[in-house]
Amino acid sequence: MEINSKVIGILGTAKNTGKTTTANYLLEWSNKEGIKVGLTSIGYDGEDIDSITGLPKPRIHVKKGNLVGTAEQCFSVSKGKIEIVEKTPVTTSLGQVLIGKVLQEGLVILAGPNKGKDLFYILQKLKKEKSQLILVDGALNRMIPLIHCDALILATGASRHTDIDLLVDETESIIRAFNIPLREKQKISNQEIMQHHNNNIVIFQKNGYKRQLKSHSLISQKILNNLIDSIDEKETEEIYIPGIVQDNILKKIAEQYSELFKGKTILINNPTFLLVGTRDINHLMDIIEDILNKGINIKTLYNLPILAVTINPFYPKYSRFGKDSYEMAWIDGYQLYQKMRNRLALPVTNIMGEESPKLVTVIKKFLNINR
Amino acid sequence: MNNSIKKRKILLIPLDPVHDVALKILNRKLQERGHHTVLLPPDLPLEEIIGRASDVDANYVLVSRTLGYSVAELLGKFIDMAEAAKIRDRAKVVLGGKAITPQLASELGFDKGFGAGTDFEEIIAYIEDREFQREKEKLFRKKISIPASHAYQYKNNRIKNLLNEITDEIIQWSQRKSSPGIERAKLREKIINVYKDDALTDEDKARKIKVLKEKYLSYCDDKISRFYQQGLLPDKVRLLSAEEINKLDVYIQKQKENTNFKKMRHTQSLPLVFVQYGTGCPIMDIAHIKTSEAWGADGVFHFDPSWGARTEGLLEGVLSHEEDGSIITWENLAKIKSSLHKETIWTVRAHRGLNTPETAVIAGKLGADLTKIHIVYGSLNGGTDPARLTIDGLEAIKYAAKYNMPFDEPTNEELGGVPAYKSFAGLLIIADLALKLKAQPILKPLFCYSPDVMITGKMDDNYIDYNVAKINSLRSIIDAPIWPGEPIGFMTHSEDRIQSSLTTALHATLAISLKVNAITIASADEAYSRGPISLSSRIDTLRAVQEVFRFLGKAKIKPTSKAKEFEKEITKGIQATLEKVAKRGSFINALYEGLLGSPQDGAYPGRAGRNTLIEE
Repeated sequence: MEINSKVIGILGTAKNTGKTTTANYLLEWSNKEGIKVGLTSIGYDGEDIDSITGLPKPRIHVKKGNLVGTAEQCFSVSKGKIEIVEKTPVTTSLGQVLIGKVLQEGLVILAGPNKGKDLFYILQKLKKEKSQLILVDGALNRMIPLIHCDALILATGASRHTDIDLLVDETESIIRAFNIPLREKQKISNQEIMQHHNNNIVIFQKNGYKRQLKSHSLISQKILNNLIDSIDEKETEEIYIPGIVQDNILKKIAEQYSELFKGKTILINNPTFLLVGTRDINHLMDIIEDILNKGINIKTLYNLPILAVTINPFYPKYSRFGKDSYEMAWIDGYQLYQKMRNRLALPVTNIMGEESPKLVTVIKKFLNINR
Repeated sequence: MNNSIKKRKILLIPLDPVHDVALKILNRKLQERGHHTVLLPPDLPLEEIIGRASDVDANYVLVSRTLGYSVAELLGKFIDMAEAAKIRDRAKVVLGGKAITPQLASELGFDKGFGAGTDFEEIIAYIEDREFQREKEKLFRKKISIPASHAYQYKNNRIKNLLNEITDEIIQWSQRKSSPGIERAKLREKIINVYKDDALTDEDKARKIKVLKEKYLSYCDDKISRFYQQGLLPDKVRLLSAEEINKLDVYIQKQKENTNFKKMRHTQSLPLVFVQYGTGCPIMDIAHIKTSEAWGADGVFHFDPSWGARTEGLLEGVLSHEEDGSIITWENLAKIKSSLHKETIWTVRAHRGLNTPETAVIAGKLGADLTKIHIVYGSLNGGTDPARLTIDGLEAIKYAAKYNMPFDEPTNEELGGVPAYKSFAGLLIIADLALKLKAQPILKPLFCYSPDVMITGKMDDNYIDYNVAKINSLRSIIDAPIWPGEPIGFMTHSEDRIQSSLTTALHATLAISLKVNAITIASADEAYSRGPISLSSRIDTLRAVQEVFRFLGKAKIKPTSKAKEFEKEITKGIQATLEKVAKRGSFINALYEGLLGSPQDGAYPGRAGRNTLIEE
């Protein structure tokens, strides 16, 4: 059956950055618009109290007709009537993931697939049930599984850093990584590379030869040395790194080996594989610019757009001398909003503030809704 | 034996700056089972861990980490890197650490989480893809018959003969005597039989029970009759509402589903550990029982309010009571019984008052494992008339035999000031009587700082020698189960919870060393709670005692040479006391006249139920 559903993932930079609040906002909006929504999470969401900070968390209120993908043990504690549509073979620490249909509105707890492959499977199931929009709530700072979405909303805020300038730099860097261009169509297709070369770093030569390294990730000086030894200054055209790419290795390439890499393309699998290997994300955009300035290309086999950025000035403050370990705290929400808006080309929404018509516009456009 | 297990390749990652002991232990256990393991050093940078993990083609990656500030994000990053590095394509990634729950594992994206209190076996079972049976739990939570390993053989012939002479006289004297307590017990047994008779219609049952109850009331005090006839409950007593009972049932169900049991003993098989409940309210009692079971208690016992012992007849219904001791009714005990784990040993004390035989009947009919009966203590310090309690006690012992309930005999008269040797003479008389009636007595000497030892200075140096002497003296006389009580360390506790827990634990250490059959422990606030004891104090001593089991293992406490001297002294005293009682030729008169504890000692023959015997 032809499916025409879109998947939006909410990618956070830390705990408490407003992922679930963003998901709730979109859920509520979709329900109002009469869009059939499916819902799952790559973490654990909807509980009233945070399992680490002990502070309140947003609940997830589902309406009749909504579809959910959540673990067996969450079904029994969810307050609402949910009918099991299908039991999937995907397992979590809270049991099998079940696909359910809400019969009577109420609160739901979401604990869904915890890795990309499993998320992909659950998304197929939710699509089969004819969801027009599927929302995937992220978890903490985890991003890898979300690559299976069609688009992302980036949620960040004070919980990641309380330093507003740092936060803005970092957000810009993340967006920059997602703006790495896709590899254009060539003799060997992107699809072919992903299928056949996903376990090793591969060096593609102009003459059609390929060289493989033992490693799949570019995460140490040793691996970089191996790579350098394998590159043919004249013949090498593309270097595909199917695993993690570490920022300081890229930096070394730009600073020490730019002559060797000049004119060649560093090919990554997708931007999250670069972000996950990055220690100081706020500097990542500078490294990328440096690479490009030195005449080295950087491209990705796969990508997806970030539609918007949501910001949250709230953060759990560690209170060393208090009765509880954490207390609620906020940074200046207005300043955060202004600085983000001035720097970023994407719509920015303070999720603790008023409704954002811009966020809705962007989602409508993405879903191809013209009203 | 391990050939059938599929060998796994396991990578163990201590993602913690310091704590890698658990992983080291797990590493050893996995290797012992033939698995191939790689244990990384602690505190490596993430990239290096991922690099090394990529080289090990593991089936399982076990990560340990204690939670702290921003650790969640670190673990989130780790799991992302593991996925990007293809480690998750082949391996299950598992997280262990004190604060880890399944919910947290799910949030962090791990395949499985193991938190505090996880048995290593549970993790190994997960890795070997087996269902984890709490095998050990089944072993350590097992009802054990306390008398089973004892033959009740006398080792001291002189004492054996004296006891024989005394108990023959008691049985002779008791012929053709009854009491209101015994008549009520008989009626109670009939009422329960009617109630349980499936052949009868509800109407028939009601009719028969009504007739029996009218007779029953003719043997009751006004306080009890008023309840049955006018619905008036005694002061500070109320019926629980239907809603309260409903909620209690839900609570019981939840507790039964959720309880994991701590193991109390370490490498020892004895002693069993008992706690007493009797908060006044069945709801609190059940909370105490479920908590005690979870924290490793083997058994619990019910104690009733002191006024219950001085009142002829028992009430009905699920009753709460604003005083120490929980009221004995069929419904209260049935509710409590319904809350018990099937391997929990349940004792209902019948021991000292005017309802002794009837309580034994109810306990027996409800399937109690043990009861408590002691004629001498009940007569001299429990407030019941010696003749009446001798008759009632004999009957209760017969019921204990009939319903297969071994019973313990607490020598609490020692707390009034009676010297140990005298109280032991009384203890042995009742034990011998029980053996003649085919019952199984359990000797309950006290581990206490009694008035007698304070006066005579026997514990001026330590609490060990005299307590050891008591146990060894009894052991030199008869091979019978010994259960120091009640609670151990009596009169050494203070208002300070830590002190209280410690003294309980130290007395437990002595009991472990002596390999007695069981001990009863107080909560840390039991002596000074000024109301119902609290759960946290309850857990204090259970944890403390668990710790001394671990501490002592199979090692022993060595008493000084004084212990042997005291032992001889006690045995000599027991014999001398029994000689006096035998010479007196009447056990009842011996009680009245103070041969087993006199007013000078601090024992006073009770008056409740005096002149109520019925001659048949």
